[in-house]
Amino acid sequence: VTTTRETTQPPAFALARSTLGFLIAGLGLIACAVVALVVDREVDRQMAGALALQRIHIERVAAIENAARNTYVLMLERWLRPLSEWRTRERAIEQAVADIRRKTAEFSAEEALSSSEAEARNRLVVSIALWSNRVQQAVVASDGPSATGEVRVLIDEVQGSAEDVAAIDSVAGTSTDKRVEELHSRQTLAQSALVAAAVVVLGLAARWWRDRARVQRRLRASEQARKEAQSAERLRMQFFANTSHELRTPLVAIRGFSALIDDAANGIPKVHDAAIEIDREAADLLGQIDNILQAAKIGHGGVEVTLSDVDLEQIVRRCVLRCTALIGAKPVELAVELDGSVPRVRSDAVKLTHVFSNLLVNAIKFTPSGRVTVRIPKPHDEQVVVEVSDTGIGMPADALERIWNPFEQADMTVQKRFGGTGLGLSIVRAFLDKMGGQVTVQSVEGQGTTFAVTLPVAASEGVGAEAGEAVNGA
Amino acid sequence: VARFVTELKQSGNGREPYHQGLARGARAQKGPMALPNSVTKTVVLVDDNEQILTTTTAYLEARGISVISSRSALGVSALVMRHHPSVIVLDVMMPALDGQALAGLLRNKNGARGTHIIFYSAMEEEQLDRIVRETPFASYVPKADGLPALYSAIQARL
Repeated sequence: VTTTRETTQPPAFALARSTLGFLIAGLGLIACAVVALVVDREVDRQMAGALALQRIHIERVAAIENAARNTYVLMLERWLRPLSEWRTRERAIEQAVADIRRKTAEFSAEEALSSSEAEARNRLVVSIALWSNRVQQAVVASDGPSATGEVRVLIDEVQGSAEDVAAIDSVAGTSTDKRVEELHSRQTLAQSALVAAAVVVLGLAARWWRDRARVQRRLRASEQARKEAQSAERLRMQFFANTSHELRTPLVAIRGFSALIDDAANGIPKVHDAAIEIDREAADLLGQIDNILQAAKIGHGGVEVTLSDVDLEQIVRRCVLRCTALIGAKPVELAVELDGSVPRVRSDAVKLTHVFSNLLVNAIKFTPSGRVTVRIPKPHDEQVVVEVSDTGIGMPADALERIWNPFEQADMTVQKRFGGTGLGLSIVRAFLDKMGGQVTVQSVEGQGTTFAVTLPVAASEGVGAEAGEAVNGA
Repeated sequence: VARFVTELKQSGNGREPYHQGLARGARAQKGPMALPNSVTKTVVLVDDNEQILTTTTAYLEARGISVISSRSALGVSALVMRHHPSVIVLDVMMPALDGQALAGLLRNKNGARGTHIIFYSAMEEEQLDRIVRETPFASYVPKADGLPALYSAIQARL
């Protein structure tokens, strides 16, 4: 599965996806860290508030405790001790005082031991109420003199202090311990989220690193494959160049010797005809080799056009001169008809030479006798048309579409009778498509065929000939 | 090849001295007495293929052009400096020193700096076109176009 995904997914996409995931995770981590930091600071702030409140409570409780002790000491010193002299209630009063003392001592001890401020406070409130009741009962029961009213006031103060404690408690809403505990749990939650986010980010970072390494491996492999393909392409192009050179060279020599034979014929018809025929065959073979190599290039997508402003008339005349040899001994007239001056066109000179050579080769091949004409009418709408027409065998209407396909000719009998590879017109169309030109055909069986090539007129019409153009042989 | 050319000459009426061009070219390489190109319309022809060198020389000689031929690019600079040809015809794919490199050397010689060079090669036209664009005062004739095309190109420069 991994292999399939690697082959179908472009490396850049995988790396981008991985990087995006990592970035998102990184942003998430930063967000978690910020939230955790904020929560932590808030917890600290609230914790400080809670602790301050707790301190206040403790101070208040301590104050109440002091007040209660002072009250009992006062009661003992000022009223309860004289009252105790009353023998009838002495035991009860002493017992109450002893209880108060014991409770006070207990309270102090319990509070010192208690970890919970709220529990201590509650115990204090209960204890104060209890003590108050007992002292009140003792005082009332003792039936003391005028001191009773003053004792009641003191008892009320003690009870008021207890109510203060309860009020503070209700204002706080909840115990500081509970609040601190809640804040602690919140802080722990934020820290856990931070750790979880860090784990996720680390996981994603590991994945990102793995993807990056994988993408780098694929890019290296891709680069290696590209270099190998370039090397293979260079070798292939070199093979084309060498092959075409090696195939053409002996044929060029044959044509050279046929020219010498023709020169030496000196009016002897048989020798002259033989020399012309040798030349024609060699020229035809050269054209076919050229077409096979061009078709191979087209098949490999190796056709590149270099557009420039080219001299159309020069190219046409050169093609006519090149193809004259193909007429051989046939009674065929090859003519060029121009309607005024021919404008320069925007095209590739070399490819255009291939185009017109192929059209002329076909016209001459399929014209046993008669006339082959290259006609260039006046340009119209910034376009120039070159018509290559012949008075040859023509083609049936149903063949006019097929002829553009590689290896196709009008019919098999034509191939047997006239030979050829059937590549010429497919090359013509392929080259014109690349150069922004068009080609159309009209044909009447038994009367002849006309190919019309349409080319765009050069924008810089009138500029001088370029140094790189082929020499005009005409 | 030499025998073939001789027999050709003997079979004809001697109207065209095919082999004399070769002989004269060979002599011209050695001899000190070379005529200026303005008088003789001399062409220096360099091609490593013996058959093509022979037939091309004979074809051009038959049409009144004096041909100094060489099968190797080595020593061509000296030939050019000695004979001052009107046109230099160079094959491209040659051993040791190819036609484009030779053209580069000739362009650095004072005596041959402006002499027109025609690349006459069986290479693909696309490559010839590229070479010509990189070489000043140069044009090309594909060998597939035949000797008449080469002759016309030379005539246009004489």
